[in-house]
Order: sequence, then C-alpha cells, then structure tokens
Amino acid sequence: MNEDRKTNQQTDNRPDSTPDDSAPDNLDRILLTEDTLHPSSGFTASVMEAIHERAAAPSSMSGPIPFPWKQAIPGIAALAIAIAILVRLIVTTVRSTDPTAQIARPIAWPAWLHLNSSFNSSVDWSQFLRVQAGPALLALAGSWVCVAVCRRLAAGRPIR
Amino acid sequence: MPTNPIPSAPGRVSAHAGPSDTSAEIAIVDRVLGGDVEAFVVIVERWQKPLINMAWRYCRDRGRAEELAQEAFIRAWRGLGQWRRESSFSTWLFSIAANVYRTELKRIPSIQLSLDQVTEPSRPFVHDAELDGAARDEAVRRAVLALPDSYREPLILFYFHEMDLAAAAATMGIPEGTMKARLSRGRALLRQRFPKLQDSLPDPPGLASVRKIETAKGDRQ
Repeated sequence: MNEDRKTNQQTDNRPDSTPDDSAPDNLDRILLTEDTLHPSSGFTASVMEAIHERAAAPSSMSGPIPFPWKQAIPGIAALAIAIAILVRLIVTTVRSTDPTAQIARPIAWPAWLHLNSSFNSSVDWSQFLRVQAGPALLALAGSWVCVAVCRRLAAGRPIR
Repeated sequence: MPTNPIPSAPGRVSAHAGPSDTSAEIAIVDRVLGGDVEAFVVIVERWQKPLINMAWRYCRDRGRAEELAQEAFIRAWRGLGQWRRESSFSTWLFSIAANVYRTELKRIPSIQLSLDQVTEPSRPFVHDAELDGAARDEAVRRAVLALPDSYREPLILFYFHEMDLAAAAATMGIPEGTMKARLSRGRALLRQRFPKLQDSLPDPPGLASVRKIETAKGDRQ
C-alpha cells in the first residue's frame, strides 16, 4: 500500500476546551497522522465505465423509475374484478332489501355513541348477517387473493 | 491549495477546494450536464483520492473503500443537476459521499469490534518503542470505528477535514454546536478506552513528518 502521512494542527477549532484537551493532544495527532491511500490504477477507468453503463441505460440521468405495468396488471385486474363484484353485491343487496325494514342502516353502533336503544333492538340481526356477511367474506377473500398474487409475482425478482 | 482541477500533489489528500477549483468545476459540471459524460473523468481524477481516503476512514478496508468511493461518484454524477452553485462543489460532494458511506456500511457493515473489545496495548511489542507506538496508534484508529454511530462519524469527518469543524459539520449536514458536542463525547470515550494517551506517551511515530507536513500546509496557505 502506498502511504504517506498527513496531518495538521488547528487548535482554534478544537471540539472542546476542557483542561485535558489542551494541546498538544496525542489523540489528535494519532487521528490526524493517518495513512493515505492512493487510488488503484484502474479506479478512474472503473468509475467511468460504470457511469457510461448507466448513461447508456434509458432514464439513467433523471426521471422516475418506470412503473412495472407487466407485474402490476394481474393485481390490478383482480382488484377491478373484486370491486365490480362488491359493487354488484351492494346494489343487489340494497335493491332486495325492504325499504321499510330497519336494515337500511345495518350498522352495529358502539355503545359509547349513545344512539337510541330502540334502533338497535329493531335491527333484524339474522337478515343483517345474511346480507352483509357474504360481501364482507368475499372482499376478504379477494384481498387475500390479491396479496397472494402480488407476493408470488414479487418473489425472486430483484428490484431494478 | 491546489488550483488545478486535476490532482497535482501525489501523496497529499486535499479535502478543500479553493475558488478557482469551484469555477473550474462549474465549467466541468456544465459540460457533463450538457451531455458530455466523458468530462466527468476530470472530477473523478480530481476527487478520487479524497473520496477513497474518506471511505477508508469509514471502513479501514482498501477494497471496500474503492467500492464505496465509486458508488459515491456514481451518485454524484446522477445528482449533478442538484448541486446548488452557492455551496462549494467539495462540500456537496463530501456530503453525498458521507451519505453513501453511511448507508452502504449500514446495509453491509464492515467487521467491527465493540469498544469494550478494543484494548489499549500495554507494550505488546518489545522490539522498540516505535513499533509499540504504531500498534497503539492503529488500535486507537480502529477504536474510532467501534464508537457508537453518533460519535463515530463526527470524529471521522473532523479529522478527515484536518480538524475543520465547519467543514465536518457541513459534510454531515448538522449544526456546528451539535458536531462539537458529539466530538467531545467521542473523544472522551476514546480517552476512557486509552487512558495512557493523556500525557505519558511519547510523540507518536511520524511526528517529525507531521511537523513537516504542517509546515508544508502553512506554505500552501
């Protein structure tokens, strides 16, 4: 290793001024008297080669990383299908529900909201579960499928 | 201080650039931004030595230091358009390099001991005092790498910048006061680990050359 020594003493810029830091300080001298490396002969060429490679690649100097449409299309398609099914189920549910039934507001309000107890008591819970559980389960299944497909597509593919 | 964009003083690491360097570098940066990729070679040649030596202080591994420096140059080339001309090119470049070194060494750490595992050699060599001093000095330098993160980098940069607090703080992108506090703590930790450094040790080997270089630096300024 080619080496030589470099150092300098600039006591006015010392990081602290406690008595034990008064000059001359062996610690400063040791850390300043550091070996100096000389670049290996091929270093510049290696850097420039790497830079030329990146310059030759598209969008290397600037611009965002292109969106990976090929990988995303199956996930987007699955999501679109799931949304379409969910919308259809909601529409079907709303149309099939008797408007006089209290199921129009099928939300189990938390007790701390202090909504009137008559509302809760009037909800037909069996009907509520029947019309809401299906879409909820379907949405969960759809989400799971999306996640599984994405993980499968991402597995083993290095990020470029 | 060098006034040529191409390194002219083999063996010396200049971490600072004067006004003429900056104007020369502005011209080169403009050429690179204008599409002349080959012009970047001037920047590489000018700054390869400081960047490699800076990386060396972060990892103390020659091969890794060159890899890190190469990555820093690539990052600098990519971000050349983001250099705001009001700050010096060297400050901007060192700041990018420090970020690269920090990130890369976090991602793939170099082999390090904890500070407790670094011991002060108590005359492990009986050949002569110089060898003893050299071993101790190397132990102290390696102990810097064993310091906690927040103290290690300030110490590395402070001594890399030849004890220029402002330059070290600018490279790290932290206020000078914070840098000063971290340096004090880092130095105190090192002194705890190496109590004999306080005053009983003779001048470290190479002090004569140190003084020569100090004189040379005085001449440069």
